[in-house]
Amino acid sequence: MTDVQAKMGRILLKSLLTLRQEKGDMSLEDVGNIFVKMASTFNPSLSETDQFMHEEIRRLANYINEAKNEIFSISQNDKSEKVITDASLHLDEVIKATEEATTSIMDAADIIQNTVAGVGGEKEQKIVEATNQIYEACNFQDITGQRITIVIKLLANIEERIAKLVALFGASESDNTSAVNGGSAAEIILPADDKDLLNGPQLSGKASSQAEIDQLFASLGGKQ
Amino acid sequence: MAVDKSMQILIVDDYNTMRRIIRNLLKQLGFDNVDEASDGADAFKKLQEKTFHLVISDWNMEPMTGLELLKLVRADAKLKNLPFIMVTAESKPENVIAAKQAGVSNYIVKPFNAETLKGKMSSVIGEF
Repeated sequence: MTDVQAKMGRILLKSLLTLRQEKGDMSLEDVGNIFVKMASTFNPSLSETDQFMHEEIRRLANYINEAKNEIFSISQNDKSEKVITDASLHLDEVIKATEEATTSIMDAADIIQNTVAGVGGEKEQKIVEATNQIYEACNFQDITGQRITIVIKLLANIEERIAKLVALFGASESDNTSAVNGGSAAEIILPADDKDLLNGPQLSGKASSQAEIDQLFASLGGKQ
Repeated sequence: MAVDKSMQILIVDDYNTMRRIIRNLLKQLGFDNVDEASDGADAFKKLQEKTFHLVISDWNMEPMTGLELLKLVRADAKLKNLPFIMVTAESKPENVIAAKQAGVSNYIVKPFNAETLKGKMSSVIGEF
């Protein structure tokens, strides 16, 4: 351990112990203040190492301060406009709308199939094939629905994390209402069991193909 | 042995549209005796009440997932040998491994078509 590291360790430990004795508990803001104190113990005019440490610690303190301001800013915006909650509601509407549209498309395909039934010949065959293709294409609704659900859960997760950060920086509970409204955050934390495996559809570039799944399945002793 | 196309098939999916798509695909393949369930718990209840010869189930459902349903089926003395195909968007290798370990008969990745469904059904219930 270098002298500088030992010096920093001693200062940090002393500051943390003092703070714990004084307040009993610490926020990130308190940690930021410790960094400010630490920076003042290094004299930039003494050596290059002191100058370097002084600068780095000052940057850390500034970073914490900026992060705190950013989080408060986001928190304030959420409170007034419920941006994330609104975004989630809009996405819910997209799921509903695509489900309704898909149902309409399939209803129409059914009508076409029923109408053409009994006509016979190549014409009937072609029309039935085309309507079957329409049905198969409606797979999209399930996949897009699952993808949008993933985004909704991510938004709820962001809401929850912002609420926790704001609380960590010492904001009062009343400032955090937008982030915890509705209990959605609790719902998205999946228990550590089989549900942990549920990720929904992967991005097309990363998703395994049916052929890759078949290969894996066969390697596990299954029939393809 | 020829496959009996009058066999009873249970489709399990929380999306009504997906159940309808699979029902349509089965109809194309000549299977008309199809029942539907909207999640694992609903499916397990139906499996207790009526005899089915094949289950085609989604994975990602609430309150009971397809994997949980599969485990219940395999743990049930009467149902443990029931052919069970998982049809899901969960395509990560760990998902396939988990399903295989739980005793799934075959695995289809969404989106899929009649040809894929036919191939997987054939591997499970025999060529048709």
